[in-house]
Amino acid sequence: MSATLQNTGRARRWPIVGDPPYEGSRIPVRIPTILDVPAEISGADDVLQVNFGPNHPSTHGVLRLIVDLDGERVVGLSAVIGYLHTGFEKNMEQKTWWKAITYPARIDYVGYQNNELVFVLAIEKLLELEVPEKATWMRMLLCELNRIHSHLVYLGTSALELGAISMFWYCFRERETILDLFELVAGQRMHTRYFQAGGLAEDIPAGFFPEARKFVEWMPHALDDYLALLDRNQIWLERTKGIGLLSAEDAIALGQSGPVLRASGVDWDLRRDQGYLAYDQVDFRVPVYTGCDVYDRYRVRMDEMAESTKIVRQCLDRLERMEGEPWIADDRKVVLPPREELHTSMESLIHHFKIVTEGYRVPAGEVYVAIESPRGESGCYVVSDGGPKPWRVHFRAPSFAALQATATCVHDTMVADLIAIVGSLDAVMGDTDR
Amino acid sequence: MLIDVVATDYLNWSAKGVSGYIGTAGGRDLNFPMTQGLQALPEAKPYRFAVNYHLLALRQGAPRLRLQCWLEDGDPVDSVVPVWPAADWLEREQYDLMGIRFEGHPNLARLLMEDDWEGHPLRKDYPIGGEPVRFSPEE
Repeated sequence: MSATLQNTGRARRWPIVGDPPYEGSRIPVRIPTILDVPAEISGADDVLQVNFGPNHPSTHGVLRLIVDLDGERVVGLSAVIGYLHTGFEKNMEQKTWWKAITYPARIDYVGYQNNELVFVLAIEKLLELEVPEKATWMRMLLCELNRIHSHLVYLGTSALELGAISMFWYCFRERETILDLFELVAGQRMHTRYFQAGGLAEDIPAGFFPEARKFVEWMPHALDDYLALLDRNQIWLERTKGIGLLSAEDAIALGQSGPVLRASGVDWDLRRDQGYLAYDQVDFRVPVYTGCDVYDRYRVRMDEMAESTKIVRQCLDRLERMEGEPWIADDRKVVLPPREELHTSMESLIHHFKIVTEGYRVPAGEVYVAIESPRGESGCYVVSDGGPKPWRVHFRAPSFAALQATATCVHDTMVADLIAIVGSLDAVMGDTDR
Repeated sequence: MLIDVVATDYLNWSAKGVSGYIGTAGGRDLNFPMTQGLQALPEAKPYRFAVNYHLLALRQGAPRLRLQCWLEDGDPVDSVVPVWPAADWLEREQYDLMGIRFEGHPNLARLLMEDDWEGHPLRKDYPIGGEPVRFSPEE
């Protein structure tokens, strides 16, 4: 790997760190997302075209890979998506802003809380709505819990695909605890719709803090368990190290973000470098590795789980002192009035009726809001014509970007490694196809 | 780096008044009796479609840039795939759902919809719920 040191061309400067694992670019020349079979073996009897998916347990849903194999070597690849396209963006145009909040969580159904956040932030930016501090910290807490949840799903399923079945059970044990916490807060285990334009849908319930404390005390031990199971496991190391290389330059050219980018030696995290919610007030580290392979993507996610646990703990420290503070903005034109007021105040009743039936209007304009979801930059572009329904909603899906890198990552690999590589890109098909 | 390519269809934009309840910025009450029923129309757009390119610089402060390219139905726009490989699927998606033709794209095929799908679903004149459903073989 160090043989390529001299061929960096121009000076590498922040945020790119480390040395590239290969010279030049490996992005396929003709079409960036399709790896063509080399001309000299194209059409040969030995080259076999195989369909992986769309119904294959290791494709994490309904990803279809058309793979050309020469023996066990992958010589051509083309990813086909769209099997889970459900028209979320079109659907949201037909719903009021208020009702459309239920949709984003179902787009990326593993990083649901983060997706909900990005849409709510977009509405709030158009409305110029101030969010109370308590809501901001609770949002941060839930988004970090969700990040741990998402990485656990990644870790469990990717390890399972490489034969480490026990990892799956361990990861889903902790995931279960997180889902219980979500259920405690919002009544739903997934797709909570707990974030509301202006703050939170309800106050944080009594009993949440002790349970969440138990979890943050336990999580570092769980991470030690995972490390003990995997990090000195010879099979795991050999199946992941040096596999699925993607250099920093190629990753940037292909629009990668999140853990994939950070494992390619790009020191970039929107939580730190762009800033949203109150991430500037918490102490956390952004893990960066320079191996550019499947193993380093795993290490980035492992470190991120530890960092997220730290952030959750800091959020708890803050939130426990915010007892009795408001959890949603006091803007009666946008925010539902408190339930008990409906029995005593005519004004509140009218507001409630109007918001629920017609929906609130959002000033005309267009915004793009981006956050660091577990999979990378999750962006939301919305256009409002000033009415109660969005004119256009578009989600920048990190999984969509990640899958564009498949053809570059499978350069000169074996078919068994293909499974490890697709797993390490951690694409959620709902997010990809929308 | 190129973050996103997204097209917007502004067909019938600001053609009629927007109805509904007035939510306001910053909690100000605009529901004054004198302005009731007088709802400002959003500013007219020069063409029907806008193609937005969202760019991000990996620098301190994460500066972002949105490039807008305005066009009428059927107008082609040059593909940016030679500049940013990431535009491959992004442009295909907008071609598929919005019907924008990207000139010079190496593989401008449908991405999310089926290959033989007719129409572009995200256009404003695309019928909603118009898909015929057969309930029995006799129909």
